[in-house]
Amino acid sequence: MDETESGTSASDLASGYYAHPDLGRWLLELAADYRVLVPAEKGGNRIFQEVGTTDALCFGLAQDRTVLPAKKAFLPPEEVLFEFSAGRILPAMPLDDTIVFGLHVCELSADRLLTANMTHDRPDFHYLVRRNGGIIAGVSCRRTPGCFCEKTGHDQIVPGDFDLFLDLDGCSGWDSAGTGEQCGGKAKTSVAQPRLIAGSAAGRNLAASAPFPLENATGAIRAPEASAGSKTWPLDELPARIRDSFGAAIWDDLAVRCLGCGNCTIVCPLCYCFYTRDETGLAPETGRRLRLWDSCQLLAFARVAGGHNFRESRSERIWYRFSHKFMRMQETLGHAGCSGCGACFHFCPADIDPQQVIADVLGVTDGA
Amino acid sequence: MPDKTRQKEAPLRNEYLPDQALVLEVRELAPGIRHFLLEFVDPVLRENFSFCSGQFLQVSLLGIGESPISICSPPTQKGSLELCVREAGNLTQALHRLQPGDSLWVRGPYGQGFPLVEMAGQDLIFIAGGIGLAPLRSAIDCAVCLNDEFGELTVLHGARSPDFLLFTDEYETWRQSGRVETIVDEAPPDWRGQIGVITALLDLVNPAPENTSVLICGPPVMFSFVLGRLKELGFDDSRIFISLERHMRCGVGKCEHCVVESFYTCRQGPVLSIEQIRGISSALR
Amino acid sequence: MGNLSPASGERLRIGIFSLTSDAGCQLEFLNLADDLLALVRAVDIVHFPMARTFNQNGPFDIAFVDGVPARPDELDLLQEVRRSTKVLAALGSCSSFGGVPAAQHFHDLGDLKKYVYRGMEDLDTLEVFPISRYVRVDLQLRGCPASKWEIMETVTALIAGRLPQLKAYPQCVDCKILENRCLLLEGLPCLGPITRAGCGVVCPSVGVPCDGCRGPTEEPNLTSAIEILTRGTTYPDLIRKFQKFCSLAPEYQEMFDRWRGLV
Repeated sequence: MDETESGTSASDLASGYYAHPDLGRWLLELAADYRVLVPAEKGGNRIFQEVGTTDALCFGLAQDRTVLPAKKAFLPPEEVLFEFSAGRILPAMPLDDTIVFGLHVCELSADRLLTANMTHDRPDFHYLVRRNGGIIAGVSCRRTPGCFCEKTGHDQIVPGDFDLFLDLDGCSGWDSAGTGEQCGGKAKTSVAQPRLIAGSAAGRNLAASAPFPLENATGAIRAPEASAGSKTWPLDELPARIRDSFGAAIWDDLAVRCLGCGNCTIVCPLCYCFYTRDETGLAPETGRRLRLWDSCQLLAFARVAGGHNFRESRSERIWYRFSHKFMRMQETLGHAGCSGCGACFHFCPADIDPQQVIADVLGVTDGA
Repeated sequence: MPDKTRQKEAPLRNEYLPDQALVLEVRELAPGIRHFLLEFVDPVLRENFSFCSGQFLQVSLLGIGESPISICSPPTQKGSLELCVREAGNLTQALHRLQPGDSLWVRGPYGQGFPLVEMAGQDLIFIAGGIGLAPLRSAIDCAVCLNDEFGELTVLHGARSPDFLLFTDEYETWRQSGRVETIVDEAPPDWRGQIGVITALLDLVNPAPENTSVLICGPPVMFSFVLGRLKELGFDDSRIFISLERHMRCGVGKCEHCVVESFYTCRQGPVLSIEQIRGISSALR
Repeated sequence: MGNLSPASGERLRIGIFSLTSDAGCQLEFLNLADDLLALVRAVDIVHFPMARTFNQNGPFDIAFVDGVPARPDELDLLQEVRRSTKVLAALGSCSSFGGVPAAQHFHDLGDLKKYVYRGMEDLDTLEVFPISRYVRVDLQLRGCPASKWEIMETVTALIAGRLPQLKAYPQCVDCKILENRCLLLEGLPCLGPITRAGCGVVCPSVGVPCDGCRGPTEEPNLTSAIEILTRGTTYPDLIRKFQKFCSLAPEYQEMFDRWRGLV
C-alpha cells in the first residue's frame, strides 16, 4: 500500500485518499437515522466503519482495498440466530437499516451475486432482512493494484445493482480543504464536483438531501479499462475445466505452499460459508445460537463427529475453494464466484495468485 | 428518516428456527445407539408434518448444538417421529442423556429421500451397514406398510457384532414381506448366524437385477465392495440409491460444508442414485 | 472425556492445581473480573491454593492443572488429581506442551542445575514433559497464559453438558475478522498462520507478531511457513521462537530434528 505524499497529478489518483467535506456532512446526517458504513482508515488499514465511530471519511478515489469486503454489513462475521431462555426460543431480528457507501464496481457486482445466492432455493433469512432493508452506494474506482474484474466478468453493473452511485468521472479529485489531516495527510485537493446516480427509488429518496447533483441511471457502469491485453476468462468453459482438474498436480503444488490459514476466504466478497455454535451462560438454560464465518480451507471444515474427514488433504480443500467460485457458482448462478478484487492474493502470506491458478487450470486441461 | 418507499417483500421464512419436540420414549438398541420416539409440541405441526423416507432433520438441544439426523420412522406413521442416534460427538452425547419428557428441537425435513414412489411395483433390496439401517428402516417400514405396492423386500444388514444388529425385534414383521439376512464382523462362539462382510449376503441371496431397486446406507468403506458386487450382478446405476453422510450446518444449501464436487448433500442428497454421482470419485469415500 | 451431565442439578466442584510454572494461568481465574464473581456464585471452586486458605480434596468435576510436574511430589499430586476428577483440563501451554520449563530439553540437565540452582545440585528434578505423558488429559486450554474465554467456555459448556468448543483453526481467521494489519505481510515473523486461535489475537491486535504460545494448528504447513517466516527473521531465531512456549508439541519435532542436524 504505497502512499503518495503530495501533488494531484493523474498518477497520484491511483494511490491517494480523497475526502469531501460536504459528503462527510451528508453522511453524518444520514447516520442519525441509519447505520452508515464507509471505508475509512484505521490502524493503517482501510476498513468499512460506522459513520460516527470514525472522523475520517476518506474514500472516493482511494485505491486501497478494505480488509473485509462490504458483505460484512449484511453477513456479519458473528451473529446471533436466536437466543433461548428456559426452553423458549427468542428469534434475533437482524437490523434492516444499513447504508453501505463506497463500493467499487466489482463489489457491487459481487453483492448482486451474493444476494442471488442467498435468495435462490431456500432464502437466508438473516442475510436477506439486512440486505433487502439496506441501501448500497457505489463509487467510481480507479482499479486497485492487483485486481482483475475484467477477467471474471464483474467489471460492469447495471442500475438495479445499486441504490446510488457516486460518479467521480471527470473529477481529478475533490476540494478537501481541512480534511487532509483527517486522512492521515493523504487527502488531495481539487475542484470538480462529483454527481450522484440513482439506481432505485430508495436511492433517489436518500439522495434528495445530498449535496451533489442527482441523475437517474441510464445504463451500465463499467470499471475502468484494464491494462491492455487482459481479457475475460472463458467462464463458460471453466466449470468443465475445473472439474477435469480434480486431483491434478497443480493443486498438490499449491498445497505445498498454502498455509491453510483461511485469509483468502475471510477477505473474499463472495465467500459466505459458516458454522454454528451454541453458547450458554453460567445458568445453562440461558444462551444463544451463533452463526460464524467459516473457511473451506480449514482442516475441520468437512470433518464429522467421530473424526472422519471428507476433505482430508489441503490440495483437495484448495480445489474446493476454486471449484466453488469457477464451477459451482458459475453453473448455478451463471456468474463466476470471484469478483476479481484480488484481495485473496493481496492477503495471502504464500502469494497464491488466483490469476495464475486459473491460467494453470486452463493450461493443464487444454485439449483435454 | 428511515426509508419506507422500498417495496417490502413477502415475509421471509427463517429456516434456522427449530420447533420443539418432546421425547416420548427412549430405547437402547445397541451399545452407544439409542432410539427416540418424539412428537412435536405444536399440535398443528404434529398432525401435518410430512416427509419422505431418507430425509433428515436438523436436530438440536439448546445450549449444546445441532446435527443432521435421518428420520427412522416411516412417513406412513402419523403424529410421531423416530430417530436412531449413535453417540459420536457433542450433540449425540447430549441426546443420549435425554429421558422421556425432555425436549429437543428440530427443523426440516430436508433433502431428497428415497424415490419410493418411482419404485412402485418393484422388488426392493435394502443394504445397511451398522447404523445405516436407520434411514433404511423408514423405507422398509413404509414398504411393509404399503405391501401391495411393492414386490419382494430383501433386507441385508451387516454389523460389527451381534450386539450391534439394529431393530432385531422387527425382523419377523419384515419377513412377512420378504427376507431379512444379517451378518457380523465378529461374534462370540454361541453366535449361529453369518460371520463375514456384507457382500457375502449378496452372494447368499444372489438377487436378479430385473425390476429391482437397491437402497444402500452404511459406512463409506462398505460402498465400493457392495457396488462392485451389484455391478457384477448386473444392476444398473440408475436403480441403486445411496444415502450419504456429510458435515452439515444449515441443511438448506447455504453453509457449504456438505458439498461434494458440485452437489449439496443436504439439498440434492442425502439420497442419490449411483448414476447421479457417477464420475465423482470423492462422493463414495 | 468424562460425560458431565447437568441433570444432577448439583453445583460443579472445581479444583485449580498448581505444578511447576509461573502460575500465570491460574492467575487468569482471578483476572476474570466480573465473570469471577458470577463464576463463584455458580460453581464451587473448592481447591485453589493461590486464592483460598482452606482447600478441599476430591472428588472434582473439573480439575484445571497449571504447570508441569518437575518434582516427584508434583507427579504424585497430578496422579491423585486424575484419580479424583471427571474432566481434567491442562491449563496453559506448560501443562499442554511443557511450556517454558521444557526449554531444558535443549540443554544438559546437569549443566542447568549447575547454573540455575547453584549449590543445590542434589535437587530432585524430573525431566519436564506435558502432563499428558503421565495422565489422560480431557481438554487442553493452550496459551501463555491460558485464555479467559476458553476457561469460561469450558466451565459453561460442562455445566450445560456441551463439549467445550475450543478453536483449532489458525489465528489468521480471527485476526482478519478483527481487520488488523497483517504483520506477516509487513515482513515481521508472525506465527499466526500456524498457531491456534482462541486468545482473541491479543498480540497482533497491538502490533506484536504472534509468538505461537498457543501451539500449532492441526496439520500446520511448517515447511512453507518457515520459508515465508525466514524472510523476516533468521532461521536460528525462528527455531528459538518455536522452542519458546510449545517445544514439546509433536508437530514441531521433525522441524527441531532437522535443525539439530544442521547445527
